[in-house]
Amino acid sequence: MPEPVLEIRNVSKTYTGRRGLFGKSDPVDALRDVSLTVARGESFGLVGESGSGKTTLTRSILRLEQPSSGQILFHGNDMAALSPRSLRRLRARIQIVFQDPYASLNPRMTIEDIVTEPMLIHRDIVGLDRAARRDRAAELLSLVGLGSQLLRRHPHEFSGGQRQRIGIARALASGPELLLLDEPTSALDVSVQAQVLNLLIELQDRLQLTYFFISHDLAVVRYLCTRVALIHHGRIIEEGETNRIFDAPQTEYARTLISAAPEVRVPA
Amino acid sequence: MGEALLQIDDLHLTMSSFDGLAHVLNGVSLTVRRGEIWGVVGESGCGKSLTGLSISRLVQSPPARYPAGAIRFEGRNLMSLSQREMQALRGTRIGMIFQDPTTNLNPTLKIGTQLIDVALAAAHHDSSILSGAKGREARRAARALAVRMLEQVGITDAAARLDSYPHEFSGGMRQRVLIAMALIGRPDLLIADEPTTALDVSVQAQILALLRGIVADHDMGVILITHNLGVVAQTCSHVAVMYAGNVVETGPVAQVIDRPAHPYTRALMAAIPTRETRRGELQGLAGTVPDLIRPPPGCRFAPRCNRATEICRGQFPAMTPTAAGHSVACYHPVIEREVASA
Repeated sequence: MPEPVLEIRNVSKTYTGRRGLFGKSDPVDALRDVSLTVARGESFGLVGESGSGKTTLTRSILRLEQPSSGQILFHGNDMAALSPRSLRRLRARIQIVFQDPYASLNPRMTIEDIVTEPMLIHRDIVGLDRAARRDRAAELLSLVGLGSQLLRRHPHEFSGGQRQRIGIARALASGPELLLLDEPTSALDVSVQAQVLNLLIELQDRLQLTYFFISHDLAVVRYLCTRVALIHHGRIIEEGETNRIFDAPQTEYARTLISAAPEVRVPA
Repeated sequence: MGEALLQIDDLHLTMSSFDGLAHVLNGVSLTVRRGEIWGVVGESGCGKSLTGLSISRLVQSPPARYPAGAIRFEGRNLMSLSQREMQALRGTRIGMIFQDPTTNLNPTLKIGTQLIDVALAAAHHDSSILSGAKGREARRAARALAVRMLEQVGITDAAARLDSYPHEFSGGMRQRVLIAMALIGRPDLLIADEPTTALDVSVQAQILALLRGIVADHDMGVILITHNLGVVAQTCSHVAVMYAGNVVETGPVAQVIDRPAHPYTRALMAAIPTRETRRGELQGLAGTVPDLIRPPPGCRFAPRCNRATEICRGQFPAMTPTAAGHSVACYHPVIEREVASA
């Protein structure tokens, strides 16, 4: 197995109950003893229904959330032990593409500002001056299949699929090696979804990216991912090669989930 | 084959906007009989939701105008009814379910109150719903009916649940409540606009099974509006595929999905990953949906279609029957050689 990029070791997260107007709410175990390893260059799919803990795990990887126990290692380094400075350097190497392309782009910024912002934030690593940043932004746009003449436009001038391409260009701007893809196509129409999925595959092959793909859409995960983990009530229920999970699910939950997903067969 | 419950005939809908007049529906025709579940499928902006809303006359006009077309419900043209007459039909004869179960329930009222209000309003138009009960009696009858409806949509301990508030229910339960609410006036036609889009697949499967059961029990007609062909394949008896304001292919689900004749239907299906799709081989659809203010002449799909010729850019193709037993609006439909006869 190639070198692990991301290791999640026995991570648990409990949200303590809040005392409010109507008394104290119960604590919620959002993650229970989750362990996963993502190898360099692979597409790892995390599948779960609403409330399963997908988002908590993603936020924990980004260190937007502090796990209650357990460790998250990036290239063998415990992210909790890093100094703020090293953590910031590390964030250039882990980027995220969000679910909703309508909410994740600032409507008041131009596409150029949006795509160059990560280069500005991580300028000590990226090390580009203003002109070079603009060139890089144009290059990124063409990489995701948009023309560089669009740099001066604003998000509202773009369709959902185009916006998601811009979101991907932004995520690539700091030169990451690990991309967290949080349901990147669930807000898109199927024909557009197909384009974005193919773009992701093309980018992965070209840039040797590692994907951590979060989704509730089994068909999309099966198409994109080489390995899959199913999460349910904060626990990893089943994990393995994509084909193995889909063809021979071991657990009752996996069987239910796979059989519930509607499928259309395309006539040959 | 029974009488047509709903007959939409060459319906045109325009919307005036800042940039000009958008031709949102461009001659939509659809016939629904009792016992049929019609899936209306298409991508964002194809007019599927506006078709549904037009049936219940919930499209505000202006900005909307209907330059041509008719919607007949059991022979009556809904386009010529007054607001008051339409209000009597909504809830009692035509029920609706919308996508988001969270925003369609009033968070400040108990589930029971909301169901009872709908039952009383429906009884106002058709007193047989509460068996003619009046005043205090009617309220008691409405409560009993609310319990029965909740039980029917699979909510356990229904009588106690009437005193719950919407936030105490999960998304799937709320959608069940909305289905119960849509059915309480015993409609003959149910319009469900993306009823399971906000739900998880396992809950979606339950809700769709519930819908199928209800249609069989009540002998209703259903229009299920969705962007998901998988949902259509799983649930519907018939399907209408829409593209940019036109119905481009209709027929029994099995025929359309097994032998799609319209290039758009095929492209839509090819864009969905399946078990057999290899990595990198999914086919997206090049181009974008047309501008409805300045739609392309002729077939609106022609600019994105690899089979398009000169004739496609002239006049919109009429619906014609195919060999497979369904209808398609295309000059160059995909005709597959009959495998069965070989």
